[in-house]
Amino acid sequence: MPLLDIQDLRVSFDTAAGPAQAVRGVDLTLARGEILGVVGESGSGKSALFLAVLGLAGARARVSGQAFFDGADLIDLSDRALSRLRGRRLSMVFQDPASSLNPVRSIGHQLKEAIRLNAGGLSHGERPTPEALLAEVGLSDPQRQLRAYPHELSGGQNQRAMIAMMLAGNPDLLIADEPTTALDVTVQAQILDLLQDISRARGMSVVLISHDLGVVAQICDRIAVMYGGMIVESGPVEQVFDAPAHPYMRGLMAARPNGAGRLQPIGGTVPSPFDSAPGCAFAPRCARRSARCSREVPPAVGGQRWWRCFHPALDAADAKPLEEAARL
Amino acid sequence: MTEVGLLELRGLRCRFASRGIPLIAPGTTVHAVDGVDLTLAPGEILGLVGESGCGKSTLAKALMGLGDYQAETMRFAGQDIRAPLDRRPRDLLRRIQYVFQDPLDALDPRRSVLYQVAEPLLIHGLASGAEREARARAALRDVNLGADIEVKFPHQLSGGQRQRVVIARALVLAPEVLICDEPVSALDVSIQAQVVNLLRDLRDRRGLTILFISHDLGLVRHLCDRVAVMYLGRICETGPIEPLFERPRHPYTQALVAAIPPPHPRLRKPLKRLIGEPPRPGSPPPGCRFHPRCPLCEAACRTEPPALLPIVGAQHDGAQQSVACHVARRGEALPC
Repeated sequence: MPLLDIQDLRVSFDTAAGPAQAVRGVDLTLARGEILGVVGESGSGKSALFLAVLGLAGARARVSGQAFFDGADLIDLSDRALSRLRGRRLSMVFQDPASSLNPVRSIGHQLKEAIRLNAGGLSHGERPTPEALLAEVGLSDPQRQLRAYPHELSGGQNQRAMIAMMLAGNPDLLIADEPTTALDVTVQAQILDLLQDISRARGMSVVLISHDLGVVAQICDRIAVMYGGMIVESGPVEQVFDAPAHPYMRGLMAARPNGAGRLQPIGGTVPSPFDSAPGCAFAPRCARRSARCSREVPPAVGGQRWWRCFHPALDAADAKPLEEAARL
Repeated sequence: MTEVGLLELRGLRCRFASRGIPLIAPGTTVHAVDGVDLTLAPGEILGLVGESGCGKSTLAKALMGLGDYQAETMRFAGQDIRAPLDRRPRDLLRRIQYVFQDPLDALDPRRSVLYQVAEPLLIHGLASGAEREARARAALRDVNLGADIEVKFPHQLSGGQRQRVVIARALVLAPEVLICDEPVSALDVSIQAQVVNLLRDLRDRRGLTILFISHDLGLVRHLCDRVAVMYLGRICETGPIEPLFERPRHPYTQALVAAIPPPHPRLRKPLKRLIGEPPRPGSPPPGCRFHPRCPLCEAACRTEPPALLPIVGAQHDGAQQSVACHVARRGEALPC
């Protein structure tokens, strides 16, 4: 049984301009210990999807569908039951650690609070110490870091402290939403290594939400590509990068430097969440579209590796050869 | 190194007085840029890379005449341009233009696209009436925007269109240098390519000289001819793009290049990561500023700041690779 099994999840937000459909029917599973990369551009619904799973999408969100976590449907759980799971079995780390941390409390204070809230039921022997958590996330000199306030630490150190707090309850699943986007490239590499090490050491599943294909290529086992509120392609990360089937995933790869010639932008713009046109959300920007694409939403095709496209690019021939990419 | 540049900088220092800067004691002076030499050859795209706080934006602002800076030499086309913005001749302001990270901040939300692109001509008194509009339209065509967007407002445009409007507004003055500070960082991946391709075309077709400031090393490698790597207010390595990425000599450049995420999961490389984090610019370490994090640090590195000097034998089509590192300069084999 997968740790997380999301079925036909939909999220819309009530706005003055009508309902904004952020997530339009997502099916997704996550195995224990797996690192899943969820890739998409701004407005693709990747953050809304996981906020809804955690019950954090807000009062104006309308959520339907199921999200089974270890057998229990999170969408159906009471707020009270859900808040008992959050922090203990499911945790989330956000982009900007400075806005998640309390600026007027020391790191030690906040870490102890996380331990009290999320590991309070454990016996003394099982309960993690602040020092041990800071050491696990690679903060040197834990004694000093415990006394420090967020403004005294760098962005990378704050993000490590955030991750330490999220580990206090020994969660089964950590959702990291753009955890390295606000960080420098050398610090990003450190944090990605850290997430991978923790996942392997604890057998903890990780959902890594990112707009950066390189970040996903670095540490993820599996990838899900989101566009217009749906997953358009998913599978083991090597297979998808070897021969992306969905024209959008192909487009994303061609828009980044890959050692071969001119970058290929994807024409047009991302669909509006207020748009309720039928058919594939990517059709207006797609070079492979046919009349059918603007009438019907393509069904998911495939098994472990699947896509939603009537005209997938199944020839590996025009995918970029690995040798060219290897030059970079 | 000796060729005459279009833009030449020697010994640039930019400082901030500590009043109002959090965590830095009043009375101390912070040098965000501390002795930088840089030359842009005509028609070249120079990448300026480094992590946040290294001084790259401060350097760019000094070129525009903004901030508290001093320089031994600051020349544009042979002319001394050390004067601050408000004392620069208007024609000089026209010839060096600037593109910022977030186009929404740079555009006026209540003015149409055509008005905003035409406005610099009004300010510089270069054209009036129909002529002004015609030149604004031509600038919009140059950035591949159609006539339909002339009457639109910034909120009606996509991020890529907005940034192209900002570039059109700079181009309408026919500048010779474009300083782009993280011009695509706020854009989605699928539209970054529009702006990157446009910059390349502007250089290829009109010989525009571009300073491209970015933290995205993949894009810098794709777009630029040459790159300068900054660390804590100084340039630690500079050289032509491919040789420098293929064989970075400075330990910091090596760490930066190693930290670029792989383009494909089959190219993952387990690497030794750079330890520690950049120190605060308020109290730079003595000697080489990178020495507290450097795996190759020696006694001299702690006391003697290394100068940026050419690497013997590292010259490629006339472009010289230079490094500011005692150990690399001694020619010892460096771990790559």
